[in-house]
Amino acid sequence: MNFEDNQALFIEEARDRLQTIEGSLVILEKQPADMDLVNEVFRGLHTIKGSGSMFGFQSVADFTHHVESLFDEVRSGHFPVDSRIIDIGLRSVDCISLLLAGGDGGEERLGILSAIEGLEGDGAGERVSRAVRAAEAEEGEPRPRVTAPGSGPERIFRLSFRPQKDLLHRGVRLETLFRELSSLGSCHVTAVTEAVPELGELEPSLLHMSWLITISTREDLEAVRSVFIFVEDYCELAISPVELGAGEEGIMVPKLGEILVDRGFLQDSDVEEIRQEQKPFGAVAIDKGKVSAEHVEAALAEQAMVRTIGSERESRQEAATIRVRKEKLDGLMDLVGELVILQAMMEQEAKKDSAGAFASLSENLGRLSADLRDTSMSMRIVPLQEFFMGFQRLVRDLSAQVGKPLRLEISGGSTELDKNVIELLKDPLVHIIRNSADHGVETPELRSRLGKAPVATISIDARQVGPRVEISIADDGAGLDMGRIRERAVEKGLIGAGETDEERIRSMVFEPGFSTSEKTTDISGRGVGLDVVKRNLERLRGEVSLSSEEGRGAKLTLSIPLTLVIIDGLLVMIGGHNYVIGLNQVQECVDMTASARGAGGRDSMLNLRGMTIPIIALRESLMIDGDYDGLARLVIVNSEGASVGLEVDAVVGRKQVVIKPLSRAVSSIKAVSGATILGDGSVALILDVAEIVRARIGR
Amino acid sequence: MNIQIAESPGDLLLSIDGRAGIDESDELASAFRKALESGAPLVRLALSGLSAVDVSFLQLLLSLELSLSRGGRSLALRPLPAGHVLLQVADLLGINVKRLLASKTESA
Repeated sequence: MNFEDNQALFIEEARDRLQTIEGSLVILEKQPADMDLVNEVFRGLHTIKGSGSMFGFQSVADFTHHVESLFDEVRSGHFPVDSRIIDIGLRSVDCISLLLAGGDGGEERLGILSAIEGLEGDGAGERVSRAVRAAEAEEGEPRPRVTAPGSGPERIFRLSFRPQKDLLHRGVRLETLFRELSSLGSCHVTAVTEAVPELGELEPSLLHMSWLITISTREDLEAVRSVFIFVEDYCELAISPVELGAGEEGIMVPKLGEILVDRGFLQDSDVEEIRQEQKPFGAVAIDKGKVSAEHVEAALAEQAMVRTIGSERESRQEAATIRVRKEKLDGLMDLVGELVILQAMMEQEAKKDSAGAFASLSENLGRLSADLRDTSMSMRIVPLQEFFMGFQRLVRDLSAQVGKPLRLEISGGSTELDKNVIELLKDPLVHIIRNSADHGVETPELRSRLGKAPVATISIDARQVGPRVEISIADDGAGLDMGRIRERAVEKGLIGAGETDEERIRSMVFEPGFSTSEKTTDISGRGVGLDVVKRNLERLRGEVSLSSEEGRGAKLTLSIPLTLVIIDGLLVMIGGHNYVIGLNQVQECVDMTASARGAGGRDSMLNLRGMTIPIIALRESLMIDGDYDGLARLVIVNSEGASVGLEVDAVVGRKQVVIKPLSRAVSSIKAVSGATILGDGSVALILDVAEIVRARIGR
Repeated sequence: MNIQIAESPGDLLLSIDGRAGIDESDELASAFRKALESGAPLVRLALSGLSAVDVSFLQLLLSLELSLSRGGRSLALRPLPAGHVLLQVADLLGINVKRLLASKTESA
């Protein structure tokens, strides 16, 4: 992998991290005391800063350093989590995204930096900017390393550093040494000051202090020891790795007493004695004079570091362990598709030699290629949770824009979907959520009058249903105004004045340009754009349905195939050519008998068990000359909630097909959405049923 | 470095400006001892004018605080601006200045 590849990988990884940071910040706003979230934000920023510097994104590293410093202050308890911190954090996420895209962040970057500097409280903001400025201005002092941490796993070292009293006479600057040490990782330093004498006995140039240090780092023991290389002859130095005990549920966090015993500050018998008190261990240990407050502080720092490493490892185990560029997976999937097609061809040939070894080999290859296909597909399948978390920010911002308190509830985030499909779902979901926020939910005043909770809820839920995933977006608002929809639809001539079918009336909101809203806002206009949502879903071979209950809210359900690469299709024959219809749309197949056909010729109606169904002759739609002499078949499909019969020459059968993109020359043909290669090497076009129905009968 | 001592009934104010490191430690210790010997029940320190400090100065502070408290007297530190060099170095060296002095920090 060359440097450019690494840079691209960094950008991709940084964007993922920013998404996580954004999600954490939105939750943090609601749970400001959750220090795990603060740590998560800090760690994310720290990694972006370090990797950014390593891969040549200095502007990203420099800016992120400022924000990281702010969250370090928050982490240290010097600054409370409040709306200003969250705002700065979220604005910084946007700004870092801009910087990653090659922008300079312009005024927004400066605005954020001055917002940090302007923070009041205990002066944390000023301290951050002062510290940054000092670090930038300081010459001759080792600056904290702005590099990615070492390559090893995160580990903890416990150091005991007792310098000789005359160390300062040797020109050693302890501040420099500790600064260098803290650049290796997350460092906690406790000075043990109990040996400092009163002024009358103090020789001011001699040292009477020692230090207990705990460091969490990716560097090894030698790297830590090397910091002390110039003082090792003039001190007692002990460095020992902290054993991270693994339990069934990850790293076990040691008890305070265990650490104090391990460090030699307490005996086992002391621990028993202190535990008898049934009060906070550290406080009792100090009160009883068993240990100093400084010993307890150092032990607590070690305990906190073990806990942090445990939670980091846990979250790493939950996520994918190897990052692979999406393009590579797409390329792999293409190759697997070719292999599947080749295997189908081989199977065709093998049938001619059913008793020979070739048939057996072909069968084995068939099994292997099917396994390979499934494994490759599963690599692109990712949980929806992270994707959903991105909408927390959207809902937060919308809440402020529309002046309605909103909250987003997410469930089913562990449901998995093809990464490519997820990317294409973003715009439709954004649109639906904006609609809900702007027009779906009532104002707080109205909700109060209606006896509803003042904070409106928008919920996203996902679940797998067979080979498809259903994503529902619901709100607890007013629901659809069916009377108004009916009125508008009649005005626009979309339905007759006597239309009573609720489902038909409800489906009007998916008509292009349909809106019941008296005013359009810059956020949405109810109904406007839902046709686009529907079209986008259809491009994904998905479907959208809408339900509503007056006064209780509305729910849109998107049903999407797990993957866009391979579909279950029904192979049909028209004019001697093969075509594929998505099996998810097929209801049934019937013979096209003369008696079944009603009056009229092509594109007429079928009376199926008392139900009148429009028929579309696909020969017409696909402009295929000639007639079929035999008994035609009808494939009854569901298109936009209504049954339609597609007349074909013959139904060949069910087939799982690998979708190949269309060449540019034919990609504009609306009736066709893709192509596939069959086992005999012939090409079959995949029909876009919704487009065909729309073109022929205008639905 | 510049050290000024101002005595008033009941307390003593020690103002220190400039560098306060190992090279200045004897002079500083001498000033601190004078403050101790003054017998003032409250010794106040004005350190905002410090431009650099090291571990020896922090050790002197700890020692002064210890000596005063053992005699039933107090040390009070005048407020320092956030990010002041003294607080930075104390943080770096793990010396909890706030724990030692915050309760006795004077209001501005």
